[in-house]
Amino acid sequence: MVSPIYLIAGALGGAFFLGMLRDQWRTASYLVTLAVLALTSWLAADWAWALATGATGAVEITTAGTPPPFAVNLRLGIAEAALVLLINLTGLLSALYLRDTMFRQGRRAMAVLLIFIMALCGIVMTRDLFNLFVFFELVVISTGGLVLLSRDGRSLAAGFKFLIASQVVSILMLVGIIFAYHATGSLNLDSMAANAAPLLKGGALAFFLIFIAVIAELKVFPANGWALDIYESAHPAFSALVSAGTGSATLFAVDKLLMIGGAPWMTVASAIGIVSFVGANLFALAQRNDRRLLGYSSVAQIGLVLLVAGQKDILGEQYLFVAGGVLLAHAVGKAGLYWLSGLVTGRDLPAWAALRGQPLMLFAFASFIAVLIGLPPFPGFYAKWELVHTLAGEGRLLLLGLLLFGALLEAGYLFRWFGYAIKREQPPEPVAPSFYKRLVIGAAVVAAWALAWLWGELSPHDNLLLATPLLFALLFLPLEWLPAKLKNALAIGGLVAWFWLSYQAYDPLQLIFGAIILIGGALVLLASFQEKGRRLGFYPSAMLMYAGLAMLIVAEDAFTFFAAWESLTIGSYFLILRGRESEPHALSYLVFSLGGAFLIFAGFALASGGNPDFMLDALQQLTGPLVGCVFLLLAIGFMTKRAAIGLHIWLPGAHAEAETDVSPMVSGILLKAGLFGLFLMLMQLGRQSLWGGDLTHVLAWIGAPLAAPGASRPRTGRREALLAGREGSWVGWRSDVVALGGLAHLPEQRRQPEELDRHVLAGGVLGSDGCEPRGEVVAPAGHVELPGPHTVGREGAPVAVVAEGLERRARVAPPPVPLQGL
Amino acid sequence: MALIAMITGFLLILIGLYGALSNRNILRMIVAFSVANTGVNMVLVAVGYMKGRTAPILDEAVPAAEAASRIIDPVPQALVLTAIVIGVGVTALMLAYAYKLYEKKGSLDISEHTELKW
Repeated sequence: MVSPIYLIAGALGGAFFLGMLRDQWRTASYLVTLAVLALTSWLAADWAWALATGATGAVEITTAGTPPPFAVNLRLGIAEAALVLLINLTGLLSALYLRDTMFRQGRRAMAVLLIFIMALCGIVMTRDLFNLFVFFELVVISTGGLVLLSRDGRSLAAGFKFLIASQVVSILMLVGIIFAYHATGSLNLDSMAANAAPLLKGGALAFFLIFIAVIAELKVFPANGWALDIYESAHPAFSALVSAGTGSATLFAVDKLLMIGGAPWMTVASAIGIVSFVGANLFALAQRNDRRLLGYSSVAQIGLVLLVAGQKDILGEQYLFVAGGVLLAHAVGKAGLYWLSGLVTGRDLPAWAALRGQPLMLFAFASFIAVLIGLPPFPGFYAKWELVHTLAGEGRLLLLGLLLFGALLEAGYLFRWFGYAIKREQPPEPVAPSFYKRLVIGAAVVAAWALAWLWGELSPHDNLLLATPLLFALLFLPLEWLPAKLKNALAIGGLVAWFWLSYQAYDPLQLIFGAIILIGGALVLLASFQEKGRRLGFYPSAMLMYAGLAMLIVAEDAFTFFAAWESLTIGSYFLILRGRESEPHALSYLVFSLGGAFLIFAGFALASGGNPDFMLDALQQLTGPLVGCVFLLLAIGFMTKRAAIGLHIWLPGAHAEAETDVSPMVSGILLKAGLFGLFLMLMQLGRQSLWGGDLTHVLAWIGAPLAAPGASRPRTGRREALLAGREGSWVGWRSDVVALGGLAHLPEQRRQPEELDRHVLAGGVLGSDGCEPRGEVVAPAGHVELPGPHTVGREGAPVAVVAEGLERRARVAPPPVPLQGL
Repeated sequence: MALIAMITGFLLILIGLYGALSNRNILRMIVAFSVANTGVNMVLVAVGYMKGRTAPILDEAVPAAEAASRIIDPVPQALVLTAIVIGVGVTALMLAYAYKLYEKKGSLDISEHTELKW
């Protein structure tokens, strides 16, 4: 194999060679640049493949023919190979994207680009502290040059500000390095790690200076003003390089320093990381400029990876999987979004409505957002699953909570932006027509989906990308050119066929929900035959929702359940967003739904005690004070999807603005996901109390007493809003009261789905669609007859009757009415 | 001697940083950073200094066999040389920026270049 030193020497030689060409030979210069970057990318890919397949081990490169610490050495292991591959590929794609700019600027700009890429590779590969400083300075100098590629005049001030900050960083780092050398007698990072005690005792200030300098190079919140200006004013291709390349390389440098610093400094890294993740995401909410928003998002994502680096000691063997998943997702997603921003003329967020006439670019936009947030099936989803469970297992619940809060903020502003692109008025300026830019964006989309597959394969769980329902939903993407009627028939056929293939394996609970979701879904889709044209975007969204629902009801482990939950949430968001003036309501739906999903996530993580392979059945074995918390988290999460009172804000608007055939999908099918979750939870956890209060009673109280507002105050005069209010108050919540009340009065022991008579389940579930609940509960120890059609309960408690009464009273005046029967 | 050099070095660093932060003229800021960089170089040399030893040049005066006990540690000096070269590069780049900024607005006052948030 070719020595990895050519990753450095190749780019360096290419830059020198460019210096020997004539200014007029721009095509030749550009081809040399591309050839060098293609060769280094191939070299990096070759090593990455060999290291990943075990064909070779990590390789040490001694630069002066002398082993360290007497000379600088470089190392290429699997992590380094993956990162240099990322850096070189990003460099190659950015060079393609910058084609016009490079031709305008000439060979000097191309040489600086090569030096920039080389220096980033050096940061990743070097094992020498001073060499690390040298490569950092090369990155600073080349950044100072490449910032000027932008036509934005503000980039001058941004570049100068960056140089000022870099000078301060450089001073801190040099002083730290010399005293660290004084303390350890070596500049080799591995030697320093092996002899860390004197450095961390007497030389603690030296290590502090080095660490702070590298952290400042990371541009974490709040010390990041100069970086944000670069992100905002530089050429988008270069911003992509800074976000994906510089960010990744610097994070790896921090990782090397943490090898010396050990546990105390990992805590510091975690603290800085989580503050950066939450703080930058909070500030991103207020941004109106797309590139500045992406800058804040970059800072947040880098903070997240820093947090992961700080958890290295507890992540153990999963460290590379988690850190790599988050880092690569950030790199691909952020670079893709920066490249995409180069197609849009306006810089405010609604200007992205210009993409609306470009379905492929919209798909790219959605893919990049999903990659960044860590939605299934992308790598961030697998990585966050492992990270959250590890945090829960170690009792680091504050970090867990802040992590999920930050992720929700991020999803909020990114999907708000996507909503602008779909629903706002299209600007008069057209999208840039460049073929090369589209090619680069397309490559990023392919990379995102390839990473989704790869992380699914590396994960100990099932590969989500290979799940049949999700594959079927994705199948509609290449079929978008077909007429809507044909796609509708295919969708109906798919739903019915999946039910036919699956129903024999269903237990009673699954059978009822399967019938509602799959057969009911097919019935609702019959109405869609009235639609004409191609109806772009409808079927992939709808089938993604149905795929999530179909996976949800058969999920046996928490991972599959949560993946299905997020899939159906995202699919239904896209569906709701299609409505007339649905932008704010769809966003509201998404924020509530994802917030609920994260509570479910936290609930599962707590219940599992850190076991990422947690089976849902194991909820039954859960004991101790934790059960109440798990119950509460799951219940709120499921009730959010069920649009229970207080968590229902999204419902009326979403109904009112949804397309005619989407409204029954939301009402009749989607909301049943929450009900299914509640059934499952109550059967597995049984009755639980927290702080002396019976949580099952609280659940039963939530629906009926506040039924009136939904029915009496629809937001608009539209009939859909009226129907939504009607559903929310009289039908939807009644089903909650009946079903929850009925289940709350099941015997104390927990239940299996097979133990419940399917009639009572059908009654509870279908109650929301106009059927009255009736039936009986078969307890393991005996047979409990229920007295009448409106009563469900162990002791004949008239739960449903009370609910009906409360609903009637709620029309006149809001209760409180005591629930005697409970 | 080494102590004086080190104290002087740190003083220069502080003077340089103060100058960079308190001046609004771009050229003064660049000069201030050069002063700070000189201070850093002095600190590096001071840390590497070993009393009673000679320069790390192996010739007739210092045979290789006696080098370990007679010469000072050459690493800090190599670091200083590299740092000086890098410092020159960064200073040159900052001066180029100063020139372009002056071309753009006709002013070297940094407060005139605040189109982005400072």
